Amino acid sequence: MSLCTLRLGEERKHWRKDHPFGFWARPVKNAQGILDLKTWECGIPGKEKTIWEGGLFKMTMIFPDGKFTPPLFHPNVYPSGTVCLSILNEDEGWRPAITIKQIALGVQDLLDNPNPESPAQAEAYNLFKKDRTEYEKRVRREVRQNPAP
Amino acid sequence: MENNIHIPNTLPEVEHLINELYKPNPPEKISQIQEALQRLQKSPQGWQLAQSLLARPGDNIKFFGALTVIVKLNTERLSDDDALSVLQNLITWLIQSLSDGSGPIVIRKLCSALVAYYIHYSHTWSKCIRHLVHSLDRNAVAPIEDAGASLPLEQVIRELGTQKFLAASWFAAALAEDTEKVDTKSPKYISLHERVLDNANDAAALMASALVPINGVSNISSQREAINCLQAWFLYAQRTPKQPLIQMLQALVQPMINCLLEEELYETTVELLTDTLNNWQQFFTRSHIDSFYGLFESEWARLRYQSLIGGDFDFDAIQFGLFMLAFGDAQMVEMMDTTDTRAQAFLTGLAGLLTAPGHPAADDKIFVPALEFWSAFVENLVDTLYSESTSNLPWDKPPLSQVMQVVPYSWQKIKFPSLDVYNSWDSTEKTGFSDARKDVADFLQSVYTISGLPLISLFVDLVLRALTNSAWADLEAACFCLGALSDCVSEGNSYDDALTKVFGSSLFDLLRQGQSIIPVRARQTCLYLIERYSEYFVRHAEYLPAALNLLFSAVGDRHLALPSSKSIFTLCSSCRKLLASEIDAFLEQYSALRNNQELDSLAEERVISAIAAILQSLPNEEQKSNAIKRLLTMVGIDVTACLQFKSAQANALVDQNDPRPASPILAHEVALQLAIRSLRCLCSIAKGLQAPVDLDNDDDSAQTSVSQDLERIHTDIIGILVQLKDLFSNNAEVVDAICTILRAGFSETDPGPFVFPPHVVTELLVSNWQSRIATVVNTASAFASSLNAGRFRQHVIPTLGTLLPWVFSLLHQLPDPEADPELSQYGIEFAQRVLLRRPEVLMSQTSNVLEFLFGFAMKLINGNEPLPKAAAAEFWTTFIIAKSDDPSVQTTLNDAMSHFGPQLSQSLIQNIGGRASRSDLDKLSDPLKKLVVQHSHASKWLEAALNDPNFPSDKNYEFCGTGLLAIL
Repeated sequence: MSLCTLRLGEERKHWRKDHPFGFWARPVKNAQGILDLKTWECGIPGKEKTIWEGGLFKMTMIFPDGKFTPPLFHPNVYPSGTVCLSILNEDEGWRPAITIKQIALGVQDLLDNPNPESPAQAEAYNLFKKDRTEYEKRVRREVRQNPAP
Repeated sequence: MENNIHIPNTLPEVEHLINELYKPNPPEKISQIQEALQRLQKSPQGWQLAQSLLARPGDNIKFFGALTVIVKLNTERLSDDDALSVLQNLITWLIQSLSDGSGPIVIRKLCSALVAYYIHYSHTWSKCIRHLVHSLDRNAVAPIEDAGASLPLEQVIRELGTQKFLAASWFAAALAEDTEKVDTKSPKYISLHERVLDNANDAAALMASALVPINGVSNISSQREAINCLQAWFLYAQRTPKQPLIQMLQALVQPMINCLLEEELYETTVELLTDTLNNWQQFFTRSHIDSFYGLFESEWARLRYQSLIGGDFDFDAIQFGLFMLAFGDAQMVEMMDTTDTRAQAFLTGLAGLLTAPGHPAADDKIFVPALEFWSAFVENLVDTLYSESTSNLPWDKPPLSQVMQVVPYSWQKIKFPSLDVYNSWDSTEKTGFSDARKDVADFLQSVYTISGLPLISLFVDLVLRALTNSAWADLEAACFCLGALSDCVSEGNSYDDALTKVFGSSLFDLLRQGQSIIPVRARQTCLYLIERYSEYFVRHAEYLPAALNLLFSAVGDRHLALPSSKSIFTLCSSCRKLLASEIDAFLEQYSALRNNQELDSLAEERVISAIAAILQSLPNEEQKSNAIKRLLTMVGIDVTACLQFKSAQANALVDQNDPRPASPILAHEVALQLAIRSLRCLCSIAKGLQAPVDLDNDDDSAQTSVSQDLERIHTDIIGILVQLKDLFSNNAEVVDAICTILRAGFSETDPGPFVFPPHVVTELLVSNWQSRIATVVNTASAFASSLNAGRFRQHVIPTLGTLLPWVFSLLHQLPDPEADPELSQYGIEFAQRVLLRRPEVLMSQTSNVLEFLFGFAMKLINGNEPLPKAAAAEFWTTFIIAKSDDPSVQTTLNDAMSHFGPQLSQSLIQNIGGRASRSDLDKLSDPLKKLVVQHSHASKWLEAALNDPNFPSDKNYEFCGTGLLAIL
């Protein structure tokens, strides 16, 4: 078993034992039902008392990069769906010991606190900066299309 | 913040301040006091102060005195002689405090001070525990050399009174805790750790004396402290796993297990054992494992277990469950061994943990951790089965028999309670319960890997039984589980017979009878079940009508609108060919739905998209056109109504009798809402009509001719778009929707209702828009790119001939390039794409236009808006590598490069030299790299740029300039 797989196996254990409420994350299974520990599917809920509340956004994590499927309307999500999270950036906050829990919480926090320093898509970024009403309207639509169960 | 507190000069003043520090005071005052006191501690008089404070009465004062010693020890370097006198004082104070009634906080702080001493001066006090115990025993500081091997330590410990024993334990615990934090790898502390290990034997003797009392009389408080101390040493040993230390600790496990039986020691002990099982299972020996089994088989354990699964969820009870689970986890391999009867019996006990009463998370606190164990267990089992190819474990024998026990246990537990109970839960309990359901789904998916079909059959039977018994909560839970398994059922149809039992049962009939029969939650889950098994319906068209009828009947219900419309879309999309003959019925269904005033807009969009998907598969063009026209007619009703409202007076209110709005609102607002609704419906139709990606398209003879019917449809749709655009394009949603409708046709290869002739699209794009022009430009850019690939290739040049000047004039109208960053970005991206694919078209623009465009791109790359800046960097990268076979175009490119090269070099160097932010650098380095490789003058230009007086700073020059020149 490679070091990486071992590490991610531990991640799986940790997540089971201690994961934030309303989130889910699990490695995907291949056709034989064996887990592919490098690829995880996660559900990131919008935080309570924010415009994202009530949404649950599906993200695929090819550890440690996250990608929203379908792409999410958000200033720090690239049109491809890839999320631009500063803790995932080697120069900013990335440490090898970073956990899936930290990433998931980081992404949840990013939802309502976009980082205007690293825009990734023009539409959400510019609306966020210039037309907050329209921005919030669009976010609410995202939430409606991705409702938490 | 200004510090208003003056630094005290006298002892009483200091004492007053210390007392103030521990009183409830506003945070700012506390931090001011702290600052003043810290200044005193750090001053040369600090030692004196500590000594004086420790001689004074009052726990706070003494505590602060000990703290001051710690601060001093950590910040000053003493000679060994001076250090030893500090040690002497510390031990003296400790002995004194033990007899003068000082509280535990003082004693503990003095122990910490002794450890701080040890960390810095361990060479002067190598046998610290032995010496301290000896001194405590003598009630005076013993000579250090007396604490040698000849001291009968065990006897001395036995003779210590409880208070002294506790102090020694606290010291021993702090020794492990505080030195564990000191870097074991640092050369400075290697000898410290060696000395700590030398003391481990003495620490073990200390703990053993409490845990294994020789005369049989145990002292609870000593035992509790000994276990706390042991915990610190366990952590130390995990970090510094040295064999002798591990053996010493291993010898104490059995006495610890005995402590579990002591009510007052249970909590501390069970926590330590559980943690160690969880984090350091290798620590335990075979004989420990046997002792654990013995313990779990004892009457004591049986009672605890019974109480837990009887519904006692107190902290102690849960701890016992977690202890069992930790043991099971640590012994996972044994648990998988069929022949190990003891392990199998224990495993059965772990399965039983799932049978405690109450709802997971809300009442039952052991279910989720127990299920976690089972998920991990099954996953391990799967791994083992696959790696050892012993895939024929019998289902009626352990360990699979226990797994098969867990399946019904877990299913039982995720049934929803009655609505009253559910509503009485707080949001944490609700979320916890729903998480537990997901965990069960996850677990079942793992079980499926081993069991396959029988698991499906099990849930099918449960669904049928629930139906027969009208047990709706059972039905809901069984459908939920069956739905979860759909992820696993990938290939083949061997499961269809089992599923047919459900989908061919009375389920759909009962569901159609509405909420009076089956409550809403169960109905939701059943609808979800249909969606999950949409592939089944592709193979079993006979059940499709019933499923769809049911779904359509549910769309109007506001609780079910979203799940049912989602299922409708999935089914219609997957089974489009099977449903083609029923298109009329669908159109009628939709027409009827539109009369429902409460129809959810998202649900409507999904339904109309679903119908369009069926329409897409119609084999006959005429049929297709007719059906499209019918859909468009329905949308047209909204458009007409919209135009009527719009033409009303600006302040006109909508007639109360009009059925659409619920309360009077302004007519033009209704008009806008109707416009948006029409456009969103058109979006959904356009998306539904897109050819499915995975369709086997073996039909090579791509059809190119466009029928008159289709031309008329194009005219109708564009007519609607133009009308609505003219009236409502000041609304962002309207602009977005129109652009989405246009885009839907770009990727299509065959003619279709939304694949408009290029000149029509171009004309619409360049017409007048009242807002969000950036979105339109971005659409134009996608449109131009799409032409390159499809059958409209010959339209590329004329289209660009119209679009490029339009885009450039929009950019030109901007007061400055960053006035509308989105427009600038999309504009420059458009130019970049054209430059990449058709450099000759871009370079054939007039020199004025080119001058403007390149200047614009230069301003953007020098600007502060990150996205346009990145787009400009990409534009320049494309420009640097642009090549053309046409010599005249190549000449223009070369001339432009010579003209802009020096300026571009300067921009890049200044950006990289410090003007750009860190996150922009990746993008900005692309053009620089290409420039260096591609252009012969690059070196000259870059050198000039580096030597430019405007270069951000000398420091940066050192940093990147010299390095860059070296590369050049």
